[in-house]
Amino acid sequence: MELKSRYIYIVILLAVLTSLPLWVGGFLRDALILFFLYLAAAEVWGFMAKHAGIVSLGQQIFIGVGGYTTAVLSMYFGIPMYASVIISGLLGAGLAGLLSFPLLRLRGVYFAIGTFLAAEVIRLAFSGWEFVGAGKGLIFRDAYGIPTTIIYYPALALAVISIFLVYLLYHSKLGFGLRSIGADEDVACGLGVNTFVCKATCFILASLITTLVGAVNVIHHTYLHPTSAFSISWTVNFLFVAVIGGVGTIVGPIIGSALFVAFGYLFAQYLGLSLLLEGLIVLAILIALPQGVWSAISRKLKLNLKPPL
Amino acid sequence: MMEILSYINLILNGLLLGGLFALTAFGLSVLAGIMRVINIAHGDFAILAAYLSLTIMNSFGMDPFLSLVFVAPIMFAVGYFFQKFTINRVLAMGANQVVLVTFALSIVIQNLLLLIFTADARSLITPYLLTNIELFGLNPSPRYAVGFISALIVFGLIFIFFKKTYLGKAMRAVPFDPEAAKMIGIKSEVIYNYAAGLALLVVAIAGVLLGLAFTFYPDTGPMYVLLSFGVVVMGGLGSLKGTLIGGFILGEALVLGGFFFGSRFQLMFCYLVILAILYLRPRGLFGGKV
Amino acid sequence: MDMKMPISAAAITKMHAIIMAVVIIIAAVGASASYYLTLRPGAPEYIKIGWPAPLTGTLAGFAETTPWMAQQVEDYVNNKLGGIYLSEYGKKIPIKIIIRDTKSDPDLAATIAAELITKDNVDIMLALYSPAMTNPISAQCEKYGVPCIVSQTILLSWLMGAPYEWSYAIGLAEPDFAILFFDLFDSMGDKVNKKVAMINADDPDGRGFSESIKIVAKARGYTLIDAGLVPYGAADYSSYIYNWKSSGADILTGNMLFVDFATLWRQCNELGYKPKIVAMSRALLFPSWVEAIGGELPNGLIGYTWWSPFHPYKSSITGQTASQLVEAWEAHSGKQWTPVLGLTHAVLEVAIDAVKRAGSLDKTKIRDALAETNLNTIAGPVNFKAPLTPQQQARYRPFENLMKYKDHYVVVSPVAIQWVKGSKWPWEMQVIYNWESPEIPETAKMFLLS
Repeated sequence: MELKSRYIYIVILLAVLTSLPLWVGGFLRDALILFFLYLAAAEVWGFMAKHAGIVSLGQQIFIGVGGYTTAVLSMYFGIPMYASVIISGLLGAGLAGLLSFPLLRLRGVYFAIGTFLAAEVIRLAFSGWEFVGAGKGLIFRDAYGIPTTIIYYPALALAVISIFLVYLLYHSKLGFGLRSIGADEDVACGLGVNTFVCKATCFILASLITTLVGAVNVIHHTYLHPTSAFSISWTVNFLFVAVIGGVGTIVGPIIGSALFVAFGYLFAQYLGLSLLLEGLIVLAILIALPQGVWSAISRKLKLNLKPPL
Repeated sequence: MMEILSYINLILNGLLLGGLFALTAFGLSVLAGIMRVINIAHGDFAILAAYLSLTIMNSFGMDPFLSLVFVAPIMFAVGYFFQKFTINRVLAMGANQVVLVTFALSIVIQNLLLLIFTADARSLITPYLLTNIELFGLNPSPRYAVGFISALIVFGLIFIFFKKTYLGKAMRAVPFDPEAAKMIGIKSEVIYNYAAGLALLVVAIAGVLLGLAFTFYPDTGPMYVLLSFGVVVMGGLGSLKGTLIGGFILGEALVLGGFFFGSRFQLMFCYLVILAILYLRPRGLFGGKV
Repeated sequence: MDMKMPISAAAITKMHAIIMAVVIIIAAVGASASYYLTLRPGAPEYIKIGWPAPLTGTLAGFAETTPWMAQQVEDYVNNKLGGIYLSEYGKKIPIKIIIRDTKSDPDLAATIAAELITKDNVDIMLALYSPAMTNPISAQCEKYGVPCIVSQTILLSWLMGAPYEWSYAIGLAEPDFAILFFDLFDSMGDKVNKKVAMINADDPDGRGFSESIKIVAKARGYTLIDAGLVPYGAADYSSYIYNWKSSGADILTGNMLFVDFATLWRQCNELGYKPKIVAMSRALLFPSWVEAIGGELPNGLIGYTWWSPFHPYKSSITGQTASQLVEAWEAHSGKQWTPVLGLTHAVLEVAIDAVKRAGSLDKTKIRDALAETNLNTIAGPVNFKAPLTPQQQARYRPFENLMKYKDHYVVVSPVAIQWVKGSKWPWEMQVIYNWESPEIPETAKMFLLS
């Protein structure tokens, strides 16, 4: 019975979130879209980093691929935009599968740097590729007509799917395998866990979500440039959202993403100081609460939540 | 004849440049080797050192090389205290926190430099390095040559330090088994502090040499981070020899990649070389067991 | 298995409390925000000009003068003129220039532009400093339907997003630079050979320049020794330099970031490659860039500028001449002037002029007034309706977008400059060739490097 009432609250929350664009102003809608997009990508990034021990510094690959595929498919090939988004997701997942073979051989720091390098190679390839506008970038004109009241929904859906995916993954057999890998990969291997398959599946799922985030983001921002689409700052932002909130938790990134979006808007007013303030605040939060804001709150309130929360 | 000489010259300059890269990557190699952390602010520390040297050069009219007498100890202190008060606090929480802390630090350094020195381009270049040397028909770049020679000297000194001194031995022992090190009375945190100090001391030298060789401004730091990481992972974490050789490979890859594949694929070729080496040897050329 | 674990009652109630709190907070914030945003007062308090600018990050050097310029103009208009007269309200209304820092990040630029539109309700937007900033900002203006003045950008890169409905640009056209440089080379006659070494950055500017140079060089019988497109941050150029040296090219040209050009030019010196003319696009705009090359190496390098204190124009707002604006900036900042000052001021002139003529804050009316602009600014005349000159038509013909969307841009003609040792500052630029702007004085004669 108690469990049931918990579901009722989730349903109410979803109902509120779904109806939000109908009665919330334009700016807040914009902010919420960003909030959901960063949340979606950071949830899976945090899960991968904390529970599977896969610290990727190359998730910008998928942001860029998602954005470019969506824009190119719908502008150059006339494919409907929603279909382009779905195809881009599949393409991103496929690319993640391909990249798994060389990259997942690496562990820890090597993997992190390997993914970073791979992202740079792909960025350089896009900077030189005339078909996608090369270094000029790409203006996604077809997306001008799509209002934020509509973009809001795929963004919300991505965030919800991402949260459920992390929840389900954690409790699945795969999640168990991943956690044992995260704890000690050699031991997991010895216990008969197929480490490659586990890690690759996790990497592909996370990259799928990240690619979709990139796709929705380009519809929202309507502009692509290889240097910014494949910029490490995407991954660092996801890391910020995940770590500030509490890496490896589900609630943490919700707080992290809200802070991230709020900081972005707030600090832009302090001319010439915006980045400095942001850096100092991140340092301060991390030194004060190294495990993230949510972990600190839940410990203080003695919530005793089950691990993935 | 002229043809062959220009090939030799290319390879020579690649080698000299490689020395400079190795020196730049060295600080990162020490930290990654001992603590298994990724220091995103590495390049910014180097640029910070270059700005310190610039300030000393402008206020006292001191040669950039001599300014190292001040810059190196300052950077040692920066490394020691930053490790003590920041990294050590989050180290136990895992690698993610360290990446974020160093990234935040990178932003802070860049923007402090922007506030103090504005976005103007700077250089430590001194007229005596802007000459045209001719040696047996070869033209080694004096700016890169200085980097190369300094790299060899620094690596030699560090090698002796690791082999002969107690502190050096302790630094090498901690990453293998922090628990065991603790049992024989080595406090890993203290060792980390000294290691970070040492890393930044070398970064200071590298920063001044980079300032002599290239133009810099507050945002230049990140440019050197990826190349440095490439050098470190290619050589293998914790291997001094690996870092030196990784630097040479990168220098040659850059020069020869530009020559054979054209300028557009120069950097891509470098990155692919690093990735290929990692594919063949997932722990780098000289990396031991993780 | 984990799913069936019993959850303690305490945890559940806390959970409920938190969920309820989240719902209430979101609802409250949403409700108050939508109330606040639907509340539009009758007569506007300010004319709001939105200006997302790269005050930090890699483009910070370009936006250095932005806050100062905005303050100067805002003070002058509000205090000296008492605001701008809007006929719709029958009174003068003060201006408010809202600057936001984009951190040189195109994605944040889009976010910030959208915020200025949806939250601050700006009446007109300014988008300046390189395609990485102008393109995302003007894309957001198109999306939301806000008049936008684009400047200090490369037109071909910006026009990639054409057709535009709301954006108008005062920009630079790539084909100009190539012709400007080759007209200059031609004027040297037999003093230099017709071999041109070329190197370009692998980015929109570099590509555009490279393409134009190839066309012009072929037409005028020059041989190109092309090093191709180089990515940023290459530390070594020796392979190309050997090639240029052995081919004996007297002219070196290209379009690169200043950092990379500094590395290149030092290396040319080290490897003993001594061209007679070095004419670089982009890398030689700012004095600090030139100075950082080091030693005597900057002496005699040739670049271009689209504005200088020698340009005989003055501000339509303050009446300042170009040289007075330079003096004011140098007195305020203690720093040498840069060519960015001119257009940074001119966009404000155009924005205020458009609002004044619209007499209203209706966005469509402002846009229509903007399209009709015919104003003499501190950076020269701005008239979007003026036709291209015959020379421009000949140059721009291969570029479809430049021909097709003439109504949305004006071109600022560049002049060639040479860097020489200065009296007030270490290196100062002299205009050596005024090209298609006879009104701009040539302040020095060009000299060859060897």
